[in-house]
Amino acid sequence: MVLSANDKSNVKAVFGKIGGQAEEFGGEALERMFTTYPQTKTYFPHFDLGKGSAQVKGHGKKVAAALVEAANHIDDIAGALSKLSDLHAQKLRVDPVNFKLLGQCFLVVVACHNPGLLTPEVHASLDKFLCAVGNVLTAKYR
Amino acid sequence: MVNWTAEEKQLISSIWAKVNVEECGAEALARLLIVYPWTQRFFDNFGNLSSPTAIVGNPKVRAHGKKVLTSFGDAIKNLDNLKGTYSKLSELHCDKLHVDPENFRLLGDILVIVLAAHFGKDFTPACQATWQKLVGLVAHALARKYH
Repeated sequence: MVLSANDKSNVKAVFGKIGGQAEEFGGEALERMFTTYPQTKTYFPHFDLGKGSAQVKGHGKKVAAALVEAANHIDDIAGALSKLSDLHAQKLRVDPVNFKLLGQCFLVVVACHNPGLLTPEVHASLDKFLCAVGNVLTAKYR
Repeated sequence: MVNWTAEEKQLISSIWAKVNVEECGAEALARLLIVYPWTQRFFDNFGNLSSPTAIVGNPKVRAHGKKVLTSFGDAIKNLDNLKGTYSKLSELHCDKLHVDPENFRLLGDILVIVLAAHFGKDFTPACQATWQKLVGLVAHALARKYH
């Protein structure tokens, strides 16, 4: 799966329009993921996962920052997320299936807040981008 | 045995009451064909699917989208018997249409996104969870008769 020039420009445009809201979107995506796919909570036994949790919000900011970083270095996502990729492989070891689940929730958040932004073409590009990020984060697993 | 709480049933019916089945079905199917282009493999006889614009404007896509989502409506009327509701359709999708059940999961995820875009903040996390559960169960019911 390769991101075309159109995909890259669509993704940059999305993150450009979302701007500062990205942090909030990250938190909401996590909240939706924990609610919709309760098995994902198993990776956060040390977190308060109740509504409005400061830890979830904080973690959402980190996730969003990584997505923004990847979008800003979209020609070399593997390079941009190399350290995160090591972290996930060596320490976190989140099963690869879960990146898809978070990706779905992120798309839902964008759809809820900016439906006009998520045209079918942009939806396709963003979905590909989120897959690419997931692939990079699990690339060193074995 | 599927268990639906009263709250889940409420979240399903209140959203469904406001869904335009034709529009929503058309959009969901179009997005499936655009976002996951390999799904076009089942629709060789649909004519022009060469671009997102072509897909969105394709009357066969619209009609089939409406058909698919209308069938969803049947599921919603029979939440306690999804297996029975989809038994024949499951056989059809396996024996005649030869559709990999993974495609039902893909369409379900797309439908949730279309609903989110339509309902915005009303599509709360609880709402999303309920609808993801529903589309997952529909996909499961459609795959049940595969052999």
